[in-house]
Amino acid sequence: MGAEGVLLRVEDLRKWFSLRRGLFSSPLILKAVDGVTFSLDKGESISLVGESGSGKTTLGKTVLRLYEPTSGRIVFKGRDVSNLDDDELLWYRRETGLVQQDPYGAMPSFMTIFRILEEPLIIHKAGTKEERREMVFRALEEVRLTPPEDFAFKYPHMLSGGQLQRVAIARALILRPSLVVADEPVSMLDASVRIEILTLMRDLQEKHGISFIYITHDLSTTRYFSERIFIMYAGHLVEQAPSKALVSEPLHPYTQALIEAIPDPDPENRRRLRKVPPGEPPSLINPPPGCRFHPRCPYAMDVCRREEPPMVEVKPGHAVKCWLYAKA
Amino acid sequence: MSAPGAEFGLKGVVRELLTYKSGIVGLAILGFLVALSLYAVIAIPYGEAIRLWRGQEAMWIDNPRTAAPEWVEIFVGKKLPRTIRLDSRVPGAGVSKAEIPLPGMNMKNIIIEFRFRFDYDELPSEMNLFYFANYSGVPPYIKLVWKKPSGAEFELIRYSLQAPDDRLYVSISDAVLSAALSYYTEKYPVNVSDRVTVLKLLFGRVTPKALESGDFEVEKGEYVLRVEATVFDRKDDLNAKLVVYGTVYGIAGTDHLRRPLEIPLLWGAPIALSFGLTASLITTFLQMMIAVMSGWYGGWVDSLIQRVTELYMIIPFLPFLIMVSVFYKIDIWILLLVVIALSVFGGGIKGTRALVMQLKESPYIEAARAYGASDFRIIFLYIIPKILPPVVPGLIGAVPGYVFLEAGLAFLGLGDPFLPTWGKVINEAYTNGALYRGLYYWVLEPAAMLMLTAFAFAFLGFALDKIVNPRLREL
Amino acid sequence: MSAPLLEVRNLLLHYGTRKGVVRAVDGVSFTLGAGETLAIVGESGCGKTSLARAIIRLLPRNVHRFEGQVLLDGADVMKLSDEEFRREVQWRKISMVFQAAQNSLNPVLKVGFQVAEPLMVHMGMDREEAIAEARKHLRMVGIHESFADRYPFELSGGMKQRAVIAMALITKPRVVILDEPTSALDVITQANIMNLLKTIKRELGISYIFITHDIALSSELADKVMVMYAGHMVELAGADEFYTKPLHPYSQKLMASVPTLRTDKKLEFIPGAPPSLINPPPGCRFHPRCPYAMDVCRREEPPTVEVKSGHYVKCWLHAGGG
Repeated sequence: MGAEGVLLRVEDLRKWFSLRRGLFSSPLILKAVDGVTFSLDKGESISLVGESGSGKTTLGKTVLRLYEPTSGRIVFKGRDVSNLDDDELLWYRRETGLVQQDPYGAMPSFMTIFRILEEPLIIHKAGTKEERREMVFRALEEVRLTPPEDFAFKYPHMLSGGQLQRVAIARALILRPSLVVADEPVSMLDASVRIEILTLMRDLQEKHGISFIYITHDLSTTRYFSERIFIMYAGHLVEQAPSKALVSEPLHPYTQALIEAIPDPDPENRRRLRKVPPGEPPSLINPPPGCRFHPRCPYAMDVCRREEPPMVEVKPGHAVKCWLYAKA
Repeated sequence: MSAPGAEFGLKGVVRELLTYKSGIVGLAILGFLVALSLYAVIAIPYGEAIRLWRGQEAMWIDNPRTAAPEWVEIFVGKKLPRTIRLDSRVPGAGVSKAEIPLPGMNMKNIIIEFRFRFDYDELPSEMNLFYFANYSGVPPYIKLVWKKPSGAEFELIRYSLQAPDDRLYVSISDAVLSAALSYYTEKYPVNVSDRVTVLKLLFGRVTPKALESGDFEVEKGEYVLRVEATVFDRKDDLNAKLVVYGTVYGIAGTDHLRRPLEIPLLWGAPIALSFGLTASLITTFLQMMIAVMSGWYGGWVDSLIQRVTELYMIIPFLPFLIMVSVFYKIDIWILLLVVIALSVFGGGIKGTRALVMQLKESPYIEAARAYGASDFRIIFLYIIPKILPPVVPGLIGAVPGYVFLEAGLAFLGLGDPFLPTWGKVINEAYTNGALYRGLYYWVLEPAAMLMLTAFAFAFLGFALDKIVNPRLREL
Repeated sequence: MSAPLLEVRNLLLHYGTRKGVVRAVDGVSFTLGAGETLAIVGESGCGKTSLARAIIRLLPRNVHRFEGQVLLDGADVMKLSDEEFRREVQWRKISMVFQAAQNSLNPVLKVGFQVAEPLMVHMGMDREEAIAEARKHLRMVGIHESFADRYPFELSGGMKQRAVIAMALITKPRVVILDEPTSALDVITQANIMNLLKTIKRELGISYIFITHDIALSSELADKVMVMYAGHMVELAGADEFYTKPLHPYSQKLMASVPTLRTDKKLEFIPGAPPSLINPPPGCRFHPRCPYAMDVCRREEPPTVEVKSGHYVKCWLHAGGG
């Protein structure tokens, strides 16, 4: 549960990418994130769920200022970081961490694990050479790569995917950040290893009181990780709710479809068809007008085709962006 | 899960190289060339080498002119003559010197006898006699007598010394020729062929048929040349050195200035290697930096650099170089500079830039930005180590190109005129009509060295490419 | 009980790599009836994809051993030469949908042509006829026939996957092997594709061999479930029994490690990692990670025992000698 107030506030954030089509045509605009507002408390962990093309990864990276927002604000610990330059952002880099999807791609293959973990410390001048060595070994122990000496001087290709992802977590946490964004951290790992890694992240998150944004397409894993779930569709946040509530009482038709689509291991599954909407998420270059889900929504009304619905708090802590719950 | 290839340290690379046949061959040849270079530099230091190479006749007069290497006789099947040098100043077998003062006068006779065996299957190429005389007044008076194994003995010439360091080019001396001819035509009054020469008469088995045809076989056995001199002051002295020039010399033969070709062949190695490696290293390094700047910063920087590169790729390299070296006197350092300047925006940039642009989007670069690494740090610590492995085979492969460039310019006579390089040897061979004269060794030896160098680097390049590019391992 | 459509007995596939001989499939047996679906479940590196490719004879280079019997309608197709197999069985009787199939469509050929290709190659049909069939099949999998004239890049991920399924069905095979057919697809698209596969199964009576690492997803189609570990089959059971009461410790751990959306359960994870197929552990290959490992497990490979009718386990806990 979050304590001591708000850590991060994102206000009407938009990130658009312009795709050049050659010398003589005007560029296409891909609206990856198109007006997202939310806040995150200190020590709170949320899951950001969406399918590919929903904009969830772009949102995560924009919050970390790996992209500069096209418009909107990102306020971290009271400071507006939306438009700062790279050199002005150095303190922000220390306060934030990133865990990526591909453990092998996320590591420089020519550096030892020790060097990889040392890099953030060196960049932020965190300690003398001996102190850094201490910190690296402690970081390895914290992610349960023990004994640390066995791992510190290996190269990334010598470790398994799961082990390497632990290194990535250690690297993200080594400067004791306040916010970590984990972008699909377990989707490239074997099923038996996923839970281990998620559990590790959860334990560390609780131990150090770090705020986490856990980005995933797999709704089933979110309950084990976060208190709140945000659902993203086509660049918009469509529902925000506490985890249990979202799964037991999904309000947005898309969320309902998502939940209906996910199988649990049940021999009855083969005897019935799932009721899910047809089609696929829209292109972000030319999203549908009004509510972006309306072409696939079983409940689409006239207003849905014309106007974008507002985000409405239906119950305390449970908000939906849908005309079914808003007054036109 | 697949893991990317590991980067090995130098030891690892060498070990990996040895698992490929091309690597073994390349390393072996390169090792040989390096050993050769080291030997050249140690045994004949640079200053010494230049001195020897520029050394004119004085230095090399004891060597035969354009002699083939000694091992040629394996292919010819005959025993080919080596050079015989007998010096009266150096006591030893084959030379005897006697001084006989003439009673009652301030004169003495000095008799120097040169005795040697000539058992080769071919005639010598030349014979010269060098005098080292000490006299204050009247120069010594010399009479030369020649004795052949068959017993024939006759006078070659008699005359007064013209200078203390006078010399007699016996094999081209008309006086000696007529003396020998008269001796033999007296014995065999026949029509003597125009092809008869001094050496044929002095060293050949003289028969009427031989005299008529001009074809002589070698008369093998012991020869004696007696220098009977009279000096006109007891204090005077006379020494002589007889050189019977062979047709073969040493391991590499000699050139038109009698210089042993071992010197430029040996010294060509360190020059070729260092020129090639230096040019390649500097060019590759500069190209890499330019490509990184271009790929990383993008935008107008990238566009500008790419247009300049394309311009460079269009400019014809060699004609430009020839033009420059025709107008300006070129020594090897200037040449190096010009070559680098003309290669620096070369096509290699395109490939490296593509790699940089690809790497720029990699997750590990993104991670580095996320934990606050600066552009500078990312370029040098994250990108460059990744682009070095693919760049290295290119670097190695470019070396023979530069070696040939230098050789080519030298061959055209446009290189450094004083440096003993392989290209220079080919140039001199060419301008002295080597192929026309059948002096194949003169061209083949430096050409072989050039090819060897090219092979070494080509093989190394292949093997390195396979190491760096695992996909090529299937081939 | 009618004779099974497909019977695999002791299939073995070992192949060589730079690091050694990979014992990818090390003696696997199962039966498949007409219209039945067998799900093969396991983690990456357990040999399930190799098993699929062995059945359809898409073998890797450097095969060391390829043995066993594959009985299709009672006839052993392993006895056929490669050429005969290709002519008679490959794609005619057994076809396959590959992993990440949406990415294996040829980008420079039209979709309709590619879907029609198996007819032209394996059945010698002429082009016009084949493309007409292709259009029919595209419709059957839910793609409008006008897409036959488009190129793959014009189709979405889900549509490409459907096209590839059409390609596997077009020769009217008896068995379709599906190797992770919905990987890289969104969850809703995945549900739509599974719906399609269920419909086809019901309407055409095709047998599926459905390979996946996702146990929950396997329950969408499976009539029978086979769990593979390190080249061995460790459990084979009917779906109803398997998902409610798995017997092999690995199956149990696998079920326990899968997060479920609708039930609240404590998740367990399996410590360690799957073993290398080049040097598998002696005895039972799961023993290093098994909470019930006994002495005999470390020494001897357990036999496959039919614990109940149609329920097989390869584990010393259920074999007499343990």
